[in-house]
Amino acid sequence: MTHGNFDRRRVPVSQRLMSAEATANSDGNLVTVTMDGREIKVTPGTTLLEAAARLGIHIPTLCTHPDLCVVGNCRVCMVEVDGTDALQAACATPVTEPVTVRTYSGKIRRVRRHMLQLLLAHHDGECHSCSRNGACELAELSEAYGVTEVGFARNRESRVFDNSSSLLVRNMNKCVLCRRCVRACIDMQEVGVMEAVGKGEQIEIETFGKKNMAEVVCIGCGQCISHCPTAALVNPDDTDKVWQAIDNPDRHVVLQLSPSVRVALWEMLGMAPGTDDVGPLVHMLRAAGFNAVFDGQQAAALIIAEQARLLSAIICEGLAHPEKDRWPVLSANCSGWVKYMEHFAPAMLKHMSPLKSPEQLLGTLVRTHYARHYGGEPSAVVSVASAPCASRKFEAESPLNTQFGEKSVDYVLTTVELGKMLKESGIGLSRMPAGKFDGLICTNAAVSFTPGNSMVHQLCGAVFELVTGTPISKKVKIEYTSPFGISGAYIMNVPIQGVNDATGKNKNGNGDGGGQKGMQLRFGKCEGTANAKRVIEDIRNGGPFSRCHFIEFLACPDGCFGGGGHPAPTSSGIRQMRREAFPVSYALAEPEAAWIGEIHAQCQNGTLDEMTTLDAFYTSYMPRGKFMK
Amino acid sequence: MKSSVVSKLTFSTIPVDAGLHAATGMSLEDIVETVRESGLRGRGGGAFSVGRKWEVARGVRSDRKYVICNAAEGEPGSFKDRAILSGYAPLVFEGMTIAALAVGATRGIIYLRAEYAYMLGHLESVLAARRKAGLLGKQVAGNPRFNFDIRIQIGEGAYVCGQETALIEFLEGHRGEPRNRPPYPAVSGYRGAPTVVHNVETWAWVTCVMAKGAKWFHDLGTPKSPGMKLFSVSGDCSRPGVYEFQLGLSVAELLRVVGGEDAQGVQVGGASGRMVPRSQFGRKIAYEDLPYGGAVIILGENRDMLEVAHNYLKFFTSESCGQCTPCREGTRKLLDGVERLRNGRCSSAYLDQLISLGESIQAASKCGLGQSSPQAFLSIVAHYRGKLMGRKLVDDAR
Ligand SMILES: Cc1cc2nc3c(=O)[nH]c(=O)nc-3n(C[C@H](O)[C@H](O)[C@H](O)COP(=O)(O)O)c2cc1C
Ligand code: SF4
Ligand code: SF4
Ligand code: SF4
Ligand code: FES
Repeated sequence: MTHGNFDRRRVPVSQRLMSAEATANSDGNLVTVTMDGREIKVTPGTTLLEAAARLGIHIPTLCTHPDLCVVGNCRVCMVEVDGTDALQAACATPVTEPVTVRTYSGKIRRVRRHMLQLLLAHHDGECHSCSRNGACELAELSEAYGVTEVGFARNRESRVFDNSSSLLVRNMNKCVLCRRCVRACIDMQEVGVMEAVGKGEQIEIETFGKKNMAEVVCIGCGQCISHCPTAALVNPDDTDKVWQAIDNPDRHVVLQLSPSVRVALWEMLGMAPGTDDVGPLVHMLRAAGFNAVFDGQQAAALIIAEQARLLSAIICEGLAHPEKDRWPVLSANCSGWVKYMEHFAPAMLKHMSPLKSPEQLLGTLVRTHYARHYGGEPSAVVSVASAPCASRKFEAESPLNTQFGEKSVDYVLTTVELGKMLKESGIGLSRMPAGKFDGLICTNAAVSFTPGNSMVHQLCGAVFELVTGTPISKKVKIEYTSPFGISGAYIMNVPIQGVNDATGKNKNGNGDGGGQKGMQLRFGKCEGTANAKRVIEDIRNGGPFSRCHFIEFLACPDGCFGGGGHPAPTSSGIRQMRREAFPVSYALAEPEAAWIGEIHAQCQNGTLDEMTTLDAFYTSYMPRGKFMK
Repeated sequence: MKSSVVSKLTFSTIPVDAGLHAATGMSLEDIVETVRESGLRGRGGGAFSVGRKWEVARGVRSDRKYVICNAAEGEPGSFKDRAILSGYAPLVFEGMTIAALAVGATRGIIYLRAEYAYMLGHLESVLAARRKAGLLGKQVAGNPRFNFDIRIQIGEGAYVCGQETALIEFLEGHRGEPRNRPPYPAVSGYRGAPTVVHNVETWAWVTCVMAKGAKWFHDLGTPKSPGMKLFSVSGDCSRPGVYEFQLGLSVAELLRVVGGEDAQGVQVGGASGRMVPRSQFGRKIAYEDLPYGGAVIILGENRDMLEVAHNYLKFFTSESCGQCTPCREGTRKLLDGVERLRNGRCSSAYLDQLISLGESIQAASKCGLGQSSPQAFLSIVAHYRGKLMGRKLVDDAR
């Protein structure tokens, strides 16, 4: 099964490849491709690039990206095909009949170099002082394919530089017009912020109406950033502000490390995707100057506990509950998703869970509880969050997310920024001793969570236990359904045998569905806004997702593991490796669960401290519509 | 552009609806076969076999198929399609109807260049008359199973929208940018359905071929480029205008007819064509020798060839759709080179580099625009290099 939007995406026809079924006379027979003297049989519709990959032949590409539909516009991947004078773009040429192809010749070499030189002539090549220095695909290609000079007159015009938004910075002087960003935003995410505007030498990538980034519907997922081959699109860089705080001895700088960042951060340090070795990482972050490092999962677990309490109350009280018309409850832990809803489905905001995101909750706890108990001046605490994407920066700035007039999170650092700080601090990776997370709630010892990122799975376990009175076990046969036939949006159907009433007694007859056999808890999960668009449609139309109790949404493909604040490159393989660093679990381990239960209870009855009550968990949303003011 | 002369056209000798009448008496295969046998090639620039295109479209199973008339006529110096639409529109519509019958299309679309919108009233009235006569609409020409109608869509100013896949993108409401091919429109075109796109002139010739037979057409012109073709002739000649010639005539013969014998060069095929110098005036205008477009531009003795190249490149830098690297960036470099030449600041070595770049642009561009845009520059540099370099002396050091 596919993730979803990668094959259901809207593909502009200009960019659509000949599909196998559209191939005239394709009767399922294989076609022979002879490439550089070697033969391979492929199904009709396979591109020359795919055929080459299967033969282990490398053809350089720039505009092509495995996540995105094909455009064939950079012309770097040109190959010679027998019977045609012009070279053919390997990425955009489907095999329809037997062909003989050369991927290497003097002509190809010349053309390839020319393409790269032309792109360089259009590119502001301040390579040594560029944020993508060392990770720029244009530079890599130029190095690998013999470009030692630009060779042609440079284009002189100066193009848009836009740092109006906290979500991304556009420097079109570095843009090579590959349109990966356009395809990421329109076709993959179906948000549609950017498009190519104008023609000929005037063409540029622009927002709708050429508005500033701060004024458009960008949700900050950063997919355009992590798919951009150059530094034309980057995350805003707040590292200097954090350095300043660290350098100030009067400040106490705390960092919350979110689960996906702790995996992807290793990639910034040159390790393979999917590395998770949190001990040394925490040590390094402390060495870099953070006074305390918290496990972001504590907040996630607290939110799950509170969410489970709310949900189980509604479920147990059944149809009589006043909030029943808000089914399904939609998660609000992803700030990109929240902004998406505020722009594109403001009328459905009443479905949104009123709970803060983990980053904001943890920031709030830092402000209310930690600041008062850590032993120093409360106002000295600087609250920094790490995040898989820049949408958290927008969230942190929102007036809806203040606590007693103060921002809960002062600065948000994406993985790329945090990695940059680690590198700049010069702390070597070798022989790092293992560090431990700090305790957020100072009366308790530090709790280190077993990683288990999937919110919906843990929530499912927690709700199950509250609703039925027994913990979930392997014996509970959870049935997965995917109404659209894609893995990016699915429903977990969890059978239960009746519900508890408010006193904790199993009523077996009065709850949701009447308590008969066949009662279910239904949890949905949806990753990627393109899939989310369909799920929202489905809810509106009364489809299967409308019958869920709760749906977790994450704006990026593969959720936070695909966040645009992680370092490029990205691909489903890389995201999968990051994800696999975390096993799915339905329940917290014993000590963690006890800790969360205790803190949650203390927040409920106000015994933690007078400022840290359940109020600290709640937030609200702002219907925005299609434009930002 | 004054078009004072319109030579006597074959189109004026074709009886009304003889072509459609002949077609309705044939099997559908035979219609396609007749067109194929005539050897008619597209008159829009690509010169692809018309019959072959129909065969492909006919062979694809689909409940929707389209025929499109390409009246973009964006090539600078071309005005023959305008002449045909204003004088022989029924022939064009008849040709589309014949193709629709043969390939199984139910809809026809005319992409009409924005500048030709003034003809809209005239064209609509011709369509209305044909509807009234039962030649469009339901059960066309009395055939109970043949429903076909034509609508007109006004285009946009862009030259590239004349490229058939960009034209289809535009008709669908997208940016007018060429698609990757394959699939070709005959397999998957407008809204993903098989689509036959032809130039205005091609459609009119289809009607002529059906009315007078494949052999009549095939015996004219040359074996590889049969039949006649309309040319828009302009520039330094005494009788500019629209001419009909059999293919295979030499440049010199053409110049004699239009009064342009003193030319130092002839640009055959408009901006995207090539410059033919005096020494090559014996060459034939035919698919197998000098590929033809609709426009012939005659450059007299006093023309500055560098200005000609500059003009064309300027046109292409702004008319490129901008999606692919070689065309978008490459033509800019060629233009910059011409400007250097103009100022005497282009070394011979740099010129060679530009020539090599020009060849790369031709080899790597995604559509015909970039594949042909360097041609004028390359042919001018090839034939007049001495003259261009001699303008001012520069050392080879660049
Ligand atoms: C840049 C470009 C511009 C074109 N402009 C036109 C045009 O204005 N009119 C036209 O009939 N064909 C034009 N063509 C050719 C079309 O792509 C296509 O080949 C033609 O419409 C097919 O018709 P035919 O079979 O009658 O030649 C253009 C091609 C290119 C690459
Ligand atoms: S951050 Fe996401 S929503 Fe914003 S422009 Fe990029 S892809 Fe589109
Ligand atoms: S901004 Fe980046 S991804 Fe977008 S077109 Fe430019 S180089 Fe490509
Ligand atoms: S060759 Fe030019 S016009 Fe054609 S697709 Fe490329 S940029 Fe566009
Ligand atoms: S990678 Fe094939 S054209 Fe860009």
